[in-house]
Amino acid sequence: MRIHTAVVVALGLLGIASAGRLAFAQASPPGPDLTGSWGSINHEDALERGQGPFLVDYLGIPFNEEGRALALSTSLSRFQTIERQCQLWPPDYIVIGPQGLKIWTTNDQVSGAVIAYHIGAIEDRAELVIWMDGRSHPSAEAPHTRAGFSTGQWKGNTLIVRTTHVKAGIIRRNGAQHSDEATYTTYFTRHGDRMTATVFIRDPFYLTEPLVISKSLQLNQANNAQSPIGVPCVAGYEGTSAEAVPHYLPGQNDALDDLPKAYAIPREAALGGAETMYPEFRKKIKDAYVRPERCLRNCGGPAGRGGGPPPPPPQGGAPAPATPR
Amino acid sequence: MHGWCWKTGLSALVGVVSLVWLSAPLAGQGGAPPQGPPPPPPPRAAAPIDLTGYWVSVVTEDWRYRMVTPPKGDFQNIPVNAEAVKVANAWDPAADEKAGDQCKSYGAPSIMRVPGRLHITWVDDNTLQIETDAGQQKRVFHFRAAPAAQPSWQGTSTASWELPARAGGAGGQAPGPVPPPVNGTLKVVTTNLRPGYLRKNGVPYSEKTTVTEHFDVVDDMNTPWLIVESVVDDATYLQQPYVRSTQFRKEADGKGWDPSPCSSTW
Repeated sequence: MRIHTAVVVALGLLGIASAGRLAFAQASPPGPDLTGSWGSINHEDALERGQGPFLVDYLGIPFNEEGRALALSTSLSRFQTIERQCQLWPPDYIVIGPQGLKIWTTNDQVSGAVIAYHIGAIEDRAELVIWMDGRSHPSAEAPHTRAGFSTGQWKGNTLIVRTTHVKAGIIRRNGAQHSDEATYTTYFTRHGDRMTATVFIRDPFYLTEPLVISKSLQLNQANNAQSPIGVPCVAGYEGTSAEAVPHYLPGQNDALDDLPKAYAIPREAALGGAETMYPEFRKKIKDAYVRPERCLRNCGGPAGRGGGPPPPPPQGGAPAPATPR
Repeated sequence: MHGWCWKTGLSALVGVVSLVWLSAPLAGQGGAPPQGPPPPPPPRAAAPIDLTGYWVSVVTEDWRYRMVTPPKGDFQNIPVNAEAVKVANAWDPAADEKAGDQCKSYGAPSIMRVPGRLHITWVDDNTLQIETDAGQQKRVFHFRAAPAAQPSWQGTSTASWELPARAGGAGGQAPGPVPPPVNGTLKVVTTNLRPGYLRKNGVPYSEKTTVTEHFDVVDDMNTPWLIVESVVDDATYLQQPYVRSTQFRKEADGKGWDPSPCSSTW
C-alpha cells in the first residue's frame, strides 16, 4: 500500500508539471504577432496600385507566349459585364492592390493555439483563411475558389503560406492573368511595426518563372483601422451590354503603344517576358531608350499631382489625358 | 521484514527522483558557485541565415524607375517635400559627370534598387561585405564598433542579428541547452552619408539621412531568395520614411557578374 501511494503521488507530481509546460507552449505563437490593422505603404508601383497600370504593361512579368496572348486579348470592359463585376480579385491582390490588411486569428478554445489566421476581405477580394493546424490541402479535383485554400507554418519570424485551388485571376491590374492551376507561396515577415508581404506566383500555363511581388505594410491600429469585411458588391449596368463579350482579336489591341509613347519604354519591354526582370535586359534596350526630357503625367510630388513646373502646351490637337486608359 | 524494507526503499527512491526532477531549475543554488554564461559566438558563427554568395536583382516592381532612367520631375512613389522638388527640378546629369559625382544614385539609400548583382562575403568574423557589380560599390557592415570615417556614398553601417523570440514566449523557456535559431534577420543601420539621389533622375537625399534595412532569406522551392526591406529617413527632403522591399535570387556562382561603372544618365 505504501509503495502504491508513493508511486501515485510521484506520478501525479510529474503529470502536473508536464501539463503546465505543454499548455503554455501551445498557447504562445511561435512567430511574432501579425494580428491587427496594417496600412499599405504604397511607395512602390504607386500608379499600378492606385489609378492602375497601362493596359499593355507587362514589364517584369515572366510571361510565355500563351500568357502574353491572353493578356493582349483581354479588354478591361470584360470586368464591367454583369456576371464579372463581383467576381473578386485573387489572393495576390493583397500585394498588387492599394488596400491594407486586417488580420485576426481563430484560436483553440482549450489550448489557445492559433488554428487559423484570417486576412479580411475588401470590396473586391475574398477573405483569406490560413490554416495553421497541419491539415492537408484538398485533392486536385476539389473545387477552386476566389480565395483558394491556404495553409501556413512559421519559420522563425516569417509566416510561410501556401495557397492552392485558386480560380483564374489577375496578376496585374490590367489584362495580365494567371490560370486556375496557379499556386502561391506568400511570406509575411514582421520587423517592428512594419511587415513585408512577398508573394511568389507560379503558373505552369502562363509563366516561365515565378512572379515575385512584395509590399510593405505599417501597423497602425489607431489611425488606420482596417475593416474585416468589404463593401458588398452590387452588380449593375456599367455601359457594357449583356450580349457583349469585350475582347481584342489577335493583333487588334490598340493599347500596345500607350506605355511606350508615355515613357519611351521600348515595346518589347512592355510586352514582358522573363528577360525583362534581369539586369542584362538593360543592355538590350539601352540604345532603344531615349529618356524623355521631363515628366508630363503621373509625376507624383508633395500634392500628388506632379511636382514639377507645368509642362509646355502640346503642339496642336487635344491635350494628353492625365491618366492612363 | 525484508519485504517491508524493499517497499520502503522503493517509495523513498521514487520520491527522491521526483523531487530532484522538479527542482532541476534550482540546481546549483545550494552547491558550487554558478558558472557564468559562455561568451557569445562571433557574428559570423552566430549567423542564423546564410547571406553569402552571389545574388541577382529580380525587377518586377518600379520597373521604369530602375531599369531605365526616368525623366526629370518624376517623383511618383517617393514622399518628397517641396524642397526636394526644387532640388530635383534642377537635376543636371552632365554637371554631375563633370564634377565626378556620377555615383550619386548608387549610395546606400538607393544601391539595392539598382539592377545588378550582389556578392556577399565575410571579411572577418565581425564584418560582412556586399559588393555590387552595378556601380562597383562596396558596402561594409560592422557588427562591432565601426572605425571613424569620412562621409561616403555607402556611409557607415552598423549590423546586428535579430533573432525570433523562442517558442513559448517570455517565461516559457524550457531548461537545457539553447537550440540554434531556425531563422533570423540581419538589421543594418547606415548613417554618415554623402548627399545623393534616391532616384537616378535627381530626387535627393541629404547627409542627415539614416537608412534602416532588414535582410531576410526565404527558401522558396529550394532556391534561396533575399528580401531587403529598406526604410529611408530624411527630414530634409522627405515628408515621411520612404519604405521599399527588394528581391534578389541566389545564383550558383559568379558567372553573371558584370562590373560596370557609375553613370549619371544610365
